[in-house]
Amino acid sequence: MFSPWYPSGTVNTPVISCQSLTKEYLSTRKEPGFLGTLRSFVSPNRVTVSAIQDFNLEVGPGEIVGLLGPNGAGKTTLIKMLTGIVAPSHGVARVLGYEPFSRPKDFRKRIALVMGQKSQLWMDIPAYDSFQLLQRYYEVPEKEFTQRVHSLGEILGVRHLFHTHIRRLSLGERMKMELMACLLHNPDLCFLDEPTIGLDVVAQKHIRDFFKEYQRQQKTTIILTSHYMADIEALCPRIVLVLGGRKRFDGTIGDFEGVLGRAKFVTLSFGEPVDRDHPIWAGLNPQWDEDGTSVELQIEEESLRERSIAILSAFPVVDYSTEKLPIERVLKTLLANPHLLPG
Amino acid sequence: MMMRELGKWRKTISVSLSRYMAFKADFFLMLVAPSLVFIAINYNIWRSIYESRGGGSISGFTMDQMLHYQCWSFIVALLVRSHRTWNLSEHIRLGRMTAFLLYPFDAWKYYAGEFIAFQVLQVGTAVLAIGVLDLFNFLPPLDIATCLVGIGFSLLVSVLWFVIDFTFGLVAFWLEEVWIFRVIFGFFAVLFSGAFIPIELFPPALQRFLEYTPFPFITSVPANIFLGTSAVSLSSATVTLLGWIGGLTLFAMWLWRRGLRLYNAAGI
Repeated sequence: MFSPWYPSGTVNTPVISCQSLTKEYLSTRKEPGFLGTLRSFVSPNRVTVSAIQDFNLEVGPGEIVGLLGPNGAGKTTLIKMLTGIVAPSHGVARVLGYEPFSRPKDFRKRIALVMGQKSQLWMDIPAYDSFQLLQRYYEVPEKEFTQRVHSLGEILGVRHLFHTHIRRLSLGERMKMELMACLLHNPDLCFLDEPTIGLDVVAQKHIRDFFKEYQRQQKTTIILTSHYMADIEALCPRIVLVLGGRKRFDGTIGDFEGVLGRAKFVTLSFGEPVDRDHPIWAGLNPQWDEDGTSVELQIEEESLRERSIAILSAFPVVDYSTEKLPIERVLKTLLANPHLLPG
Repeated sequence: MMMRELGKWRKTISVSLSRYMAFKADFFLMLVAPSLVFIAINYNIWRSIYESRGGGSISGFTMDQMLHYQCWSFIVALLVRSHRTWNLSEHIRLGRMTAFLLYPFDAWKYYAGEFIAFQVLQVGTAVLAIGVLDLFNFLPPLDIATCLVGIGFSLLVSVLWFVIDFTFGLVAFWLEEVWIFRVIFGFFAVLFSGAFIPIELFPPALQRFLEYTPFPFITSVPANIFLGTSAVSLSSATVTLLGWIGGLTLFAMWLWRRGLRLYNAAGI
């Protein structure tokens, strides 16, 4: 396991610090069918499920950290504990100097949570009414509120929708309103849980660009979870990989890309089907198309030139492209082969 | 500081009012229809009972007194039993509570704000209902001061109702479905509060037992205050009521603290 990573100069003042943080749930296992239902009713089979185990993490001010992991890995549970929504079973967490689950008012005023899958706005009233309510809750001065609402509305292109009922907005428009609602009080720490889920690619990029610019200006600490690697690549210099409730990687995005070695991702197209069993492909993890006229290879950086020349000389190559191993592919490989992870 | 807190309450109440008014037909049905149906049935049943007996009195209640009691118990129902914190258990079960845990305005205050907004509308409805009932001579001659005291006392009872309802909502931390408990409680509340049959008609042992429960406050005590026939003094009734509210509030706070440790913020 990699040791905690954070930019130099921030070690003494972590925004988030947790040691051995653990969350266990009591769950009931039910066998299928009517008999299973009866059995479960009479004698429920209760099991303890660990959602997060012995999690250590430190995040410095102004950092943007991407939490990666498959569904059910524990990312959201971790966020729930760090925001004080759920109580940890064991371990210690300090967020902005507070113990999150005690949820003091000053702590709540300094954080924000954007939940892509759960609306925090009131559906039956226009967005502006919700903003005004949140202005009171977060005690944002009138002048600052007006300025922020209009500036955020302008950047996100939703000013003309302020007085429309939330339930009448499209998903993308609603998401932008959710972001505004979460940022109205200028939080020091922002948790973004799947903020671009379900959005089209244009809206995803818009929100990504918005956060990039917002963070550059405000220096807000951001914890982001997303299944879209484009979000992670665009926003997060640091990645924390969560697997089975445990931290399995903590480091820079560059280090993460290099976990599987400094391999280049090479795509070749041929004028005719070629011999797939040729020894030249050995060790290159070839992924062929159906008719054998196209292949994707992983070639180590240092042998790229030599291996490429050999292939180009041996086969009728009509197209050749190379790129570094995409983060999405690194993640996919690691999820399928967790033993490849260091530590 | 105080002004800021008041501002939060004021805005919560005004947003809740907007939300209630957003669905006008639904709002009317929720606000008035159940009590209206109940009084229509009740009124006619008692009228038929008395007419079939050829008048006279039942346990000291003449037909006019019984019908007046039923009319005032309808007004009390509007002021006391109409509000439902249905959404609390749903918020816990479906994870909507998460947002309320994040805002720097405690969740219970939000629900209390919603309740106050509802009661603001309900007072208007009750005053209108009193006017209509008086216009058609369903009520005995009105004494404004008694009427105001009755409304004030009913509103205090509605706080008790809110606390009880809120407490039932908190059970959702432990059980996924809590509506059945509310239905059962609602049934007992109608039966033992005197909403259908005045408590004075119950067997003496049951009457004595009910004195040790909050049920009489839900209909019988406020209805008798409106009628000017209350057996207990207003001050003693108020003190006892405040005791119930205080005790149940402490219990709700204890449940809240325990329940929150079990909350898993489903859905995110």
